[in-house]
Amino acid sequence: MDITIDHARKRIAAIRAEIERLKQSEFPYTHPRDALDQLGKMFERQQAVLEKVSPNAPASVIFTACSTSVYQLFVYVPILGFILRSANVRNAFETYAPLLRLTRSILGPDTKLIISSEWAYSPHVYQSITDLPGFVLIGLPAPESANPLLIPLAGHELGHAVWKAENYSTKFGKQIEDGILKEITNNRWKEYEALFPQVKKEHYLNNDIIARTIWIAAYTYALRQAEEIFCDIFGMRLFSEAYLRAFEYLIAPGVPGERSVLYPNMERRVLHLMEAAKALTVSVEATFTSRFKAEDEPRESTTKLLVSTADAVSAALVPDLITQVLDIALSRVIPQRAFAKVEEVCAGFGKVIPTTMAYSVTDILNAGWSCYLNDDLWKNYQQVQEENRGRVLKDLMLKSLEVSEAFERSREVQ
Amino acid sequence: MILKGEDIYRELTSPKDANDPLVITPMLDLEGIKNSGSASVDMRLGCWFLTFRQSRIGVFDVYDKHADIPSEAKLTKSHYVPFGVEFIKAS
Repeated sequence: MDITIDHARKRIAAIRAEIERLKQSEFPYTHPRDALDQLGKMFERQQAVLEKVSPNAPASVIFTACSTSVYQLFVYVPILGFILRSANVRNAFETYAPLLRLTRSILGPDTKLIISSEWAYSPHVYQSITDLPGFVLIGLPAPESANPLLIPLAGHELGHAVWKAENYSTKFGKQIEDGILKEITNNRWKEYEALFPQVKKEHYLNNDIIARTIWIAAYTYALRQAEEIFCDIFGMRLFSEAYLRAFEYLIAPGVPGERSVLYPNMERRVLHLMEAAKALTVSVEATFTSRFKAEDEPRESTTKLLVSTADAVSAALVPDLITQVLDIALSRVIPQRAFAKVEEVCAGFGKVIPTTMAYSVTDILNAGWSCYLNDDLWKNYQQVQEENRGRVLKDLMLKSLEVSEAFERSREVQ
Repeated sequence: MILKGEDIYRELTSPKDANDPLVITPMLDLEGIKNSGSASVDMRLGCWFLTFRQSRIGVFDVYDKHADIPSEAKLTKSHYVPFGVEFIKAS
């Protein structure tokens, strides 16, 4: 027996056994189990391939089959961990059903959603999982995964799924490429000439390969920044003021040190949010920007120049990104925060009562934030002690989401 | 004081004290209460349950001083039971 094939077969057998064990977890919803089924079948196919490889086959055949199976393990073991953590009781399971409804209204009725608590502080989404088509996997930071006040951040992650589904990288790609070349040749030529004297202006204007090797980094940064800006705007469209509150809670005043080149710097990110808030009629106080500090820009001269070029291009795209979000919202049935509804929910919370009828997740989350920021909340309710205020409010929000879901299901049955 | 179905219905829909109302939520069949003639309301339990981790503690004495009682996280396991799913609490 060829030891390489033997190892590969045993590795796949081990992961299949692990998937069977994972299926015994207490998943409150079906989609994590559906994902396990699909991954189990994929590894079953892998095993069948490995079984067919003869130990006498050429080394290249053995290596190809075995390295493919190793690659699958590297890709899917973290995903399996994510799926397992989706069953952890630290998750706010009450948020699942309303978020699934929202996700399906945006991405289509067959979309499957898995929400998990992750041991990474930044919320994120797993995208482009070849063997889990139609799945959206959103990870929220474990210490806050039971906190409904931060659910609006899932809106940003859904934005990434929309960006991919709508193929906006291609749609905005040409615009960004043109923007980068224009920025270099019209506004930054002296700086580029000084740093890259061997590349002439016509190389850029003719889209020469020599010039491309230089500006492609700026293009990549600008494209990623545009995606992040889009996701911020999309999250704000879904959750209005609550998105801004959650964003501030999670990250203000910002992380010390050098900024990420794949995001607009914090100062600009917040300014874009303010600009989008105006277009989306989301209320934001003038002091919002002052709660975030400026990040350090890259010191290395080439990176600094490329990033600043990308910054200029992605900033110019903001109006188009806002329009795109508004178009998406118009073409789907996406609930919008309704002040009157928010006030109704607030009035109930003020009496320590969860909602008694169906409200949208957006209205409940905004009411939650409104109460959270109200210093007078429950001032006359001696039974809610100051130290329990946050916990009681979160319980009210979660119960309200559950109540709304009960009404939705009741309506669907009728 | 025992309230009849009609009284419960009235308290739920137009409470005597608007600042301290009787609330049952979700109330999916309000008319059913009014017409039931019963002096009670059947309610559904919530979705969260705690069960003892029996292998972690031999005896649980409710008269122990609060400081001596192990934390809820140590004593119990949380379960989330979605709508429509059965949960067997005791065997």
